Amino acid sequence: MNILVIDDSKAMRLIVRRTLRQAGIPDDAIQEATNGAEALKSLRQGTFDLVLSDWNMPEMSGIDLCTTLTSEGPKVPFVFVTSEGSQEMRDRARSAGAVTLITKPFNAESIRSVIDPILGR
Amino acid sequence: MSVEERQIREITESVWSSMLGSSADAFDGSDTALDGTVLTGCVHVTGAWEGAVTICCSPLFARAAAAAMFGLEDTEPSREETRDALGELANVVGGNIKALLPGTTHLSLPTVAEGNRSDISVTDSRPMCTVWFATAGEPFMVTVLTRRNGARAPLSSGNGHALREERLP
Repeated sequence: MNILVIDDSKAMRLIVRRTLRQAGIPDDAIQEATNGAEALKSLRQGTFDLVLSDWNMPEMSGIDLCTTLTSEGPKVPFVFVTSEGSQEMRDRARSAGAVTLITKPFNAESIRSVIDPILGR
Repeated sequence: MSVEERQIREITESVWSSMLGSSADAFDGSDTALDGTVLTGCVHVTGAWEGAVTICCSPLFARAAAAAMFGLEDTEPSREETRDALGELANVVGGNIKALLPGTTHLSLPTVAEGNRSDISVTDSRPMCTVWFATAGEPFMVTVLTRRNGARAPLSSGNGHALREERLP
């Protein structure tokens, strides 16, 4: 299993990683990227089962990354993890090809309820 | 449109519980509660509603928050980690407050400024609602500001110059 966590905040990447471990994901299954551009390189080079991405990031935003991935064809399940959970953001996320959106703050239960069906657990 | 104190309180308490594993307790704050140097995390909101959300705290509080977020027990967080943590707290609180606002709005990347509280302001904005809290007895305040006019509203010092405002890495 390979999960890519994308966030420009090191603190938030750690919190997502910690919460994934609490949700039963082994730490060695988690990789990190600090923005959309860095993530795009990793996604083009490797195989991932799930992307958990912040929305608002420098260099390349999460929504731009999601749109790019969707346009490139066979896609990895993409979930936004963002502080902005309005209906408009959810609609934009789905239009870009994302599965759903997790609102910060979150806990292991809310993460698990989203990722388990995607990962077939 | 106004953001109510109750809403700020609920959002902040939820963020503190989830991200820091600690409580954000009600605190009877005053101008003297945060003397000396403070750190202020700020996100700007633009679009149908324009303004900013700031979190102002002591360096001691910011370091404690960073230690909690980074899971540090025996070591002090670096300056970069401290700013990253406070910026992310401002981002999450601001994002949740943004969801209460009308129309289409956009949230900026967080910035953090350091200096005396009286010298830090968000240009062309006025406080709409300030709520004081304390965690483990250490006070901090969350403020929602609304923009006075059409000018951009950077976090700045009283003399109009950017006050060590830094885009976080």
